[in-house]
Amino acid sequence: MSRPPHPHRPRRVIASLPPRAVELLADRLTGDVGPGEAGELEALLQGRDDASVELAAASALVADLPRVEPLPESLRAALIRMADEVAADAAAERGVRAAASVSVARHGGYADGWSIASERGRRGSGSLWLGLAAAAGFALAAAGWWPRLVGPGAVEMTPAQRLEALALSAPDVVVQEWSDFVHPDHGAPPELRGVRGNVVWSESRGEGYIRLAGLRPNDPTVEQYQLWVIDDRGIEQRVSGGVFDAPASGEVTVAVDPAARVKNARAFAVTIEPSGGVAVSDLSRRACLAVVAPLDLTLADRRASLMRNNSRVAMGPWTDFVSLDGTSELPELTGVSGDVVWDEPGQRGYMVFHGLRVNDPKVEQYQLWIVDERGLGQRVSGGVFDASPTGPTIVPISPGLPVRNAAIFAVTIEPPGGVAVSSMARRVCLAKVGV
Amino acid sequence: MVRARGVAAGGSVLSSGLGSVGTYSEGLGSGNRGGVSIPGEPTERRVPEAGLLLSRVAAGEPDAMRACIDRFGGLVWSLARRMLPTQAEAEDAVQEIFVEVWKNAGKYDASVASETAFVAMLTRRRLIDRRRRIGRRIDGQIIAEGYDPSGPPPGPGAELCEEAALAARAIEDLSADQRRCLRLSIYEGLSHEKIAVSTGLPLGTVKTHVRRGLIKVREMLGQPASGVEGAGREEASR
Repeated sequence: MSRPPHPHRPRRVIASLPPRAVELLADRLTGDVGPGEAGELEALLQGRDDASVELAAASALVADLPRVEPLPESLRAALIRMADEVAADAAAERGVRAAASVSVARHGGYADGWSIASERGRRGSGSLWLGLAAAAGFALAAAGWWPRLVGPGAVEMTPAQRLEALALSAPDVVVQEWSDFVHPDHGAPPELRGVRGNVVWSESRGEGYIRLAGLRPNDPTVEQYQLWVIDDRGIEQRVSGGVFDAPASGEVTVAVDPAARVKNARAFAVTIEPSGGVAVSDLSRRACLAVVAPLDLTLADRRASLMRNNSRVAMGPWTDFVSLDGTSELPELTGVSGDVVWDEPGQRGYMVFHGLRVNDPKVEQYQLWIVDERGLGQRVSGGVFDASPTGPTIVPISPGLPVRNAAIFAVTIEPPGGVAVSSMARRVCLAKVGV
Repeated sequence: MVRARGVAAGGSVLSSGLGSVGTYSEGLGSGNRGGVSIPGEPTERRVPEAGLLLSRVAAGEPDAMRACIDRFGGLVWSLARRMLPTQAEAEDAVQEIFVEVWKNAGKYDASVASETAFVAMLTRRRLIDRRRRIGRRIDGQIIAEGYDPSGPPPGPGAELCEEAALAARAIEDLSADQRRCLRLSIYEGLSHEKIAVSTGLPLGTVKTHVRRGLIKVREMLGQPASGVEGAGREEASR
């Protein structure tokens, strides 16, 4: 089994840490560290950070790859184009920066409230990296999803000044007023009403700013406002646009800082979230919404839109999920109606249920199973959901892993959070689909 | 369109496009620093020497950024396909990850990890973020064909870098339950509570299994590389 050692590999540096610190690093990596433990970890690390556990996780991830596939040609070509653009802009930026530094040296002095970014810039990373970083920020902001980086020599304006500059200079700038963000599915009013102001957004530049008035001042240690960008991918895949705080005046202007590329921004929304923001909001604490382009916001609208715009969708009605062991025993819950709409190429769909018994999520949840060409024995768990207490239950389908030629969608009742393998003892309904 | 060619040694199952040792890209001109000639190939085609690539990316060398795509593209793509539900999601993620790699190349420290492991760390972060973002309501899992969640590492990934080879060895030494918990945690990004529900194991046991798995791998990474099978083509090229 063993191969000869690799004598040229330098010894890897894994810092010696107290065992408790390593345990807490492992807990932090897996998202299971409370505020007290976080403080304990910080004290144990004495201000340093340590990536050795993260390195371990990444190494395990690579070790566990069942196969290594080549990069698709089209994607590789796109990456090459991106690399070339970034590199070219980096070179150009270096030239601009050199000229700017001469100008700054000649004129000196700036008005109050303005600052020279280079004075606060990153140090010790190498000037060429600064050039690359600045150019990357420029080029990719143009692509719509990269937070802007300010290169040395540039003059940093306030967000309000940048908003005005963008509004004056971008050819495709859109401006949209805020309105109350009622819940898209059941119309409940927002927690915070009457927020005023607007969104200024340029798709071509991937740059935007939000101006808000009438916000409730927040305690940043408890909660913060979070901006969401909703684009072509819909509200379910909304992109975080960053968190911000409201001062005592309730008025603030901040830059849109998307966490991922934005493709045709349709709407901007502000919610109130725990300090630091969340990766995915449940939209329970809503503030304001600005719709800049037509958008199907409700689940029913999105289901209808999918059916309208996609000739490839497959449909199937729910029927009672009788036992598969030959006894044809009736399911625990009978008479559920509705249907499944499934877009196989898009790997998405919607389920509508009428007559689904309202469940207590602390006791039990409904779980979706998808049977595809791999057969019943390798059914895919489509996740868990709860029945709506009012009206029909509409549930989007977005499987965690690819489904190939979906044949049957089946629903069971399982413990909260669902199970990896179901005994199918508590059956509800199933739908056979066909394109 | 020019593709990177994988020249896997010793019957490796690594596919082309990974672009590590023995890989070259057109456009890597003779003026590149750190180039290594391939016998029998035109002299203008060169292989960027392992260990130098990220520092050249940080220095803003266009050829290095292209080489980066060819060397790590297969790894990043394979991880993205493994962890994300659709091809479109994976394509978006790969673009995002490469920008992250270019942006952070200057932070690479060869005394801490190989370049491949460094890229894998950045990749994992982004993919977990993305999974959490898209998978809150439906966090599906699959009992994939031929994949045993509690079995030993399947093999190919361990050949990508020394750290992966060491990790594979550590994972082999874990119990079946420890392997299952570790995988559900680092692959699926599942909380300990969800893992407990999925596996039927007590919550405290899940937490201990995940911890022990990570600590075991970390300990193994601290050992010298001698005798590690695979141990990475990247390192072997030096």
